[in-house]
Amino acid sequence: MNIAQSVDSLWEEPVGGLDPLGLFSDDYDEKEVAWFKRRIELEAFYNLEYDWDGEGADPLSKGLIDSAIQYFKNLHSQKQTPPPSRIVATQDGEIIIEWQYDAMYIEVTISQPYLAEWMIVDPDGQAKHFDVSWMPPQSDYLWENYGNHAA
Amino acid sequence: MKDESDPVSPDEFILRRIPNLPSYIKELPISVARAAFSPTDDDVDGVSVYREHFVTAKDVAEAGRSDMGYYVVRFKAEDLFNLGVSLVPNKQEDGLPGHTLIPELSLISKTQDKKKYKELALKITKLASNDIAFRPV
Repeated sequence: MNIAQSVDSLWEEPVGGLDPLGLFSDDYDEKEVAWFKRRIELEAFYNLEYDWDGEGADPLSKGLIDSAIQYFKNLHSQKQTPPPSRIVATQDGEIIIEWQYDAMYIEVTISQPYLAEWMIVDPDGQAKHFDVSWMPPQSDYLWENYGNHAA
Repeated sequence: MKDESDPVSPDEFILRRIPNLPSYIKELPISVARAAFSPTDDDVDGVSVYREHFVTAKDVAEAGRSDMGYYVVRFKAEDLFNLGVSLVPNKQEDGLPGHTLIPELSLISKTQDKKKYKELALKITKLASNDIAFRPV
């Protein structure tokens, strides 16, 4: 069973009678379900090992996935943001978060930690690009830069 | 009789193998993920496509290395030319016939101008979503 199948199986085979989050009830917000599914897909990238694509691709770096999850959480916290339509890992080590809504195409590429590259393509095909960078959480920053000096 | 080294003509059809990876093909208006046109470390000179004149979509899928199988998408060469894409015949002695490169999607092109690369890859992805010629079993 590959990762796509295992993620899909979560939705096809809910644990009998147990649904603590109410994800399978009719009144649960569909958008929240979609956010939850994308989050699971994103976290599944931690499990990718060497040759995950069958063509010799390296696993994604932990720092990259951590950053993508951090940014994803940030987007989710902004209530006006719709859930992404798709999240994929590329064979050359990037993560692409994608939206397709009302003939708009929007994507965020995470190709290095703490940097999100946006591309917004309007229905006429005109593209706009901008980057968003942010600082790592302070505790990570401290341990990455000063941890080696700890006795 | 057409030779593999002959230039690609606008009326030819072009095939591209897409790995059967999570969400690479999904039920969306643009069904194919742009990631399907990301160059790998091997794609220094361009991403690989094949000329349908010399090979079938099934042959292209089955020649892939992955056990997970492949989709194959199909383009009209003219549509790719209209996007400013070059199709460079690249005969391989030990590979499938009809091997061709798209240099505009090479690792070098991506590194030199990533924004341009992304925009072109997305346009090609939209075309690819119109004709999925082969699906993994």
